[in-house]
Amino acid sequence: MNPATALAPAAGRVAGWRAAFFALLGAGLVLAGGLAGPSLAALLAVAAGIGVWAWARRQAPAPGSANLDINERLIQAQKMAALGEISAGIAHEINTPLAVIGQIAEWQEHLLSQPGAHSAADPGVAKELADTIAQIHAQVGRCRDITHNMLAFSRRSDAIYQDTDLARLLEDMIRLVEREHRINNIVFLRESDPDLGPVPTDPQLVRQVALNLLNNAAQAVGREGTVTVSTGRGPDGPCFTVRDTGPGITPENLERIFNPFFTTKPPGKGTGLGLSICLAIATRLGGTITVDSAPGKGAAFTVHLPPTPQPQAPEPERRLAP
Amino acid sequence: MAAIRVLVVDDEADFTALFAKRFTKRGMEVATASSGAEGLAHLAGNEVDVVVLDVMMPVMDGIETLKELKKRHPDVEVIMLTGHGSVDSGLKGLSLGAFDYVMKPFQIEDMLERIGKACDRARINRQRRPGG
Repeated sequence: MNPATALAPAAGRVAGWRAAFFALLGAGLVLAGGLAGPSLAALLAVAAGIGVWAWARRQAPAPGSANLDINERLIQAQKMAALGEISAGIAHEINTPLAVIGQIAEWQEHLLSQPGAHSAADPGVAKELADTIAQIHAQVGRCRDITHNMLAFSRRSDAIYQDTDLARLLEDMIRLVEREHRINNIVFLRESDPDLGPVPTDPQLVRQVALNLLNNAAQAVGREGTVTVSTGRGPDGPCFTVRDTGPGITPENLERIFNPFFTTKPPGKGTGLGLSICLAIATRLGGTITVDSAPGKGAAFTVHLPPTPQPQAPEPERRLAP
Repeated sequence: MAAIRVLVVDDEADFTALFAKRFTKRGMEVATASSGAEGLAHLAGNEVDVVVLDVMMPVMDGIETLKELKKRHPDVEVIMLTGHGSVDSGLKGLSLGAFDYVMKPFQIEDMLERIGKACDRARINRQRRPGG
């Protein structure tokens, strides 16, 4: 049932400014309800997605199991840059009304807490009002998480390259995921190349990518399976692979997994932004991500890093405030 | 090179006191705070390179504190410390700009190295900022 409809009879019982207050609450709920959940995701996906990918697809295949040549990488980088701009624009536009909704909800809470604010209404209604306001806060919070993730695309602060022990960095992240999935009987295997040596990269950014990939791998396995994390040196530079024994990815999905908001997880379990953020980060570091998977064969995500620090991209003229 | 200035924020006073003692002995300047608000207040009046921040704190938790801290002091690097880490809070912390996410208990040598790396970044951040 639409919460706004549920509140309508209550609105009829109060007079004067209180009626306006309830109407405002209803409007807030409709707004918050409309913004939250899959409809927001769908709206943003359409806006941020279609244009960029329609354009990019015409020119290059989606990152798949094949190695990308230099041209494709360039297009991928351009695609990510365009996506960053669009995401930041949309996130910024939505953050402003979100902030207004949040403030209205706070104001409503304040009004409701005033002595005599709901003397005319029955106590059940007051309780329901408080609950629905709490819902507005919760849903606004959810939207904020989404817009926050979208802004992560466009964060333009330059990468900071530091000599990084890749195996150790991965070990930290594996331990975190391992603890959480021990009850599901998922075994985490480590296969690190002892000759890899320190990798010049941004450890903060690589941690994000690693944790996302590990979390995805564990969720793909679900129960009873293996996640293998290996490091090594590919033809272009250092790399690491997260391989799982999950159900694998269908060819149709393989083309879409890096698209923002594309998710196969149940609603509320994933924003569908994890992999697209991983790819954006890898691209920013001058690397890329490839995936090797087929139904029934598990999936392997490989993050390729450049052998030397990448020249920093010039700061864009326009800065989008978060 | 100037001593590394560390702020450790944890609601367990025993932990922060011991941390301060051990890391001061290793040549760092250590300040302590028992809550997110107290930590932010310290940052408002003092230069700090690295904040070691507990994830689980009452009232204002580590993630909330991190969000506010990065907003006000983007140059300061943060190491999240947790006795009971979760993947969710790890993802959140890192995406909010935490440099590292470390589980308790830690080895002092290991933590020293992490703080050193975080401090290098903080100083690079400051150099890059115009007028910083």
